[in-house]
Amino acid sequence: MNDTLRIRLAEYALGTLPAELVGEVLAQLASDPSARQVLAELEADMCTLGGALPPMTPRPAARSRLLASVEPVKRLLAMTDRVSDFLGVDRAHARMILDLVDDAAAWVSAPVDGISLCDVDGGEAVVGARVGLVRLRPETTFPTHTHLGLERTLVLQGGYVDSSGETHLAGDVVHNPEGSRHTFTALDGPDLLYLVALWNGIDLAGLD
Amino acid sequence: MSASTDPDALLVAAMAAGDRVALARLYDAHAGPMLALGARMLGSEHEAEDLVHDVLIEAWRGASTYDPIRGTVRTWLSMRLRSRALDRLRIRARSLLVESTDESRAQATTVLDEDPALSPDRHRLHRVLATLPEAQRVVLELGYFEGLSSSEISERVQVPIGTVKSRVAAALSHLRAIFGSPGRMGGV
Repeated sequence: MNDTLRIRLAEYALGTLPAELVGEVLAQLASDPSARQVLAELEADMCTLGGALPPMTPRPAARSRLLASVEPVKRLLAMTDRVSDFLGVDRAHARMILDLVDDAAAWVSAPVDGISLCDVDGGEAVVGARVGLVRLRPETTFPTHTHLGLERTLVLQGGYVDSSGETHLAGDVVHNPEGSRHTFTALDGPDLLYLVALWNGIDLAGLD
Repeated sequence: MSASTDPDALLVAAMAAGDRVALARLYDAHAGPMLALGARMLGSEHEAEDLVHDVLIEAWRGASTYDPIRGTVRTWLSMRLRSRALDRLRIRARSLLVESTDESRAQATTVLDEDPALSPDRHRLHRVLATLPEAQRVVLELGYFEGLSSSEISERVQVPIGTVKSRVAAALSHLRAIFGSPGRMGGV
């Protein structure tokens, strides 16, 4: 990359590039992946300037105002088809299950702090299984347990790291066979939400 | 599987699915640094609060467009904030509702003048900025925080415009050499 382009990209990132040259730089960015990479690096570096400022404490009212301003939308609608396939239920039933995610009254606390559960009705794909939604607060660890039968899970939101070292994120389907033993920890970020179908339960050593 | 396990990226993904708790957590993580940057650029905490509100509403509505491949959430928010702050500064300049006086600028102190309990990252950056030659640091701060064009910086610091351009490039190269990869610093 020549110096002229590098300087123009720096000016573009900073916002000081003369307007008559912006089109030229945009055209270059559209056709040149290395220019896009350099620009991304320049933008990230410039963020460090903002990071040099001591953070200020926003007024509590500002937070409330923000949260009151966002439109309520149906949660997790994009997962409807996945839930339908996973459980063997129709889409309306899958929607109803997903709506329970935001229904506080449908949830009960598990014996482990930071974990809550919501039983749901499954369909033909999970006959004989106990089916439910599980929620873990960020960085909560599900204690070590042994599967007394097959377990299938569909991650709906967030993610977790299994004791095997594998990371599973929203959209992943995970199978834990009978006799398998593991623990896992929810990732930092949003709550971990997953749908579970559990045959014959689990042995949770040390807990009732 | 999604492309990132970055906590902020997971929050934005949850926002895209309509999770307001995720927005609240993103706010708690970033509002303080965003407010500081907005206040620094606009010279008004009240206006900065509106700016942060607008940018986070924009992030909520555009959460599905966030691409972790293109940069961190911190960079994404920061660039949006800065862009909207510059819009406000341009509107302010055009309408002449508020004159840009030395007095109003005095509210926005230079980065290097501030030294409250800095986090380790910010303290490190503070020291790094101090290693920039004064001339480079000044053009970078005038462009970044005050949104001045190269010609305006040229007039302000009384050097040819070509010198401004080369100082900007040199200052950013210096930061790149120090930080190496994006997303290594705290704050917005």
